[in-house]
Amino acid sequence: MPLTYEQLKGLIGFVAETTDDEITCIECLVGMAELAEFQLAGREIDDAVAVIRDHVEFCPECAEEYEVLLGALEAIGDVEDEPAVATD
Amino acid sequence: MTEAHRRNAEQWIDHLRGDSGVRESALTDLRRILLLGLSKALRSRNLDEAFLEDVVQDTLVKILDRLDQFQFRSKFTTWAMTIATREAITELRRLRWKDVSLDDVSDGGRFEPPNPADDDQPEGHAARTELVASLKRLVDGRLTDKQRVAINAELSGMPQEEIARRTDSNRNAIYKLVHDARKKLQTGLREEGYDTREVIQIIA
Repeated sequence: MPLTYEQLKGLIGFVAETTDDEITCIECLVGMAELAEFQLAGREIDDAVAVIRDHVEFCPECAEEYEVLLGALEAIGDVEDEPAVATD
Repeated sequence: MTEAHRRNAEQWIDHLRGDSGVRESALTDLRRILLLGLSKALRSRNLDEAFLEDVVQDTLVKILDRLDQFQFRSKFTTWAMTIATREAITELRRLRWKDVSLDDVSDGGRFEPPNPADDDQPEGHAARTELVASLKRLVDGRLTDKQRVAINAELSGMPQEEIARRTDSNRNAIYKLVHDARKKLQTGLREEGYDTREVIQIIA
């Protein structure tokens, strides 16, 4: 069956935006928690987290998971104490 | 829902590795947190409680298996929720695509460009036709059968996880397979004189 122009546009967009240093979805999963915390706190992201954000913007599957993750984190709110700080 | 006992990340890890009583209590709290988050985030999908319970149960097993992989770069509960989220969405994708074969969506890896009659924008028509011809040459000449099948399936909306399930592979391997295909096409288009930005403008 012939592609639609929308599908062709999607393919060409993916091809055009391909880079050598893309991370995989598994690598994205490792950093997704950090990205979510940066975003929910409104903090400026660093270079390491920017790589995760770029993947999420590029990969529709990770984007869907990230959107659900943000919704879930907003739903649970603040449920965890800060790490203990050494005093000595 | 009863309030979950508050812990910091170190305490979560310690308690989940602890003696049975402490561990059970931590698992109960984590189950509540994950269920609350998923049920709210996925509310619009009208899922039944049993589906979410199963997802959370599977997630807890994975979390216990992966405690060594937690790197303290986020809150523990945020990390746990990423695993729960992927588990839930993966299962939803599996259910949505369970009756669709790879053949249904990949057309045997055949690359068939759009019908020119469907191109209703006269402006730039010739450039688009030329670009599509180049792309077809490259897809047919440079990609492997596996790459063509995976790309066609993706363009039909099948998630990589589902392509992997049907090819005895995994999502990472499919991502790499498609990434290599995209690189080959990008290189080929450059060799044919196309600039990255130009191709997007031509097809826009």
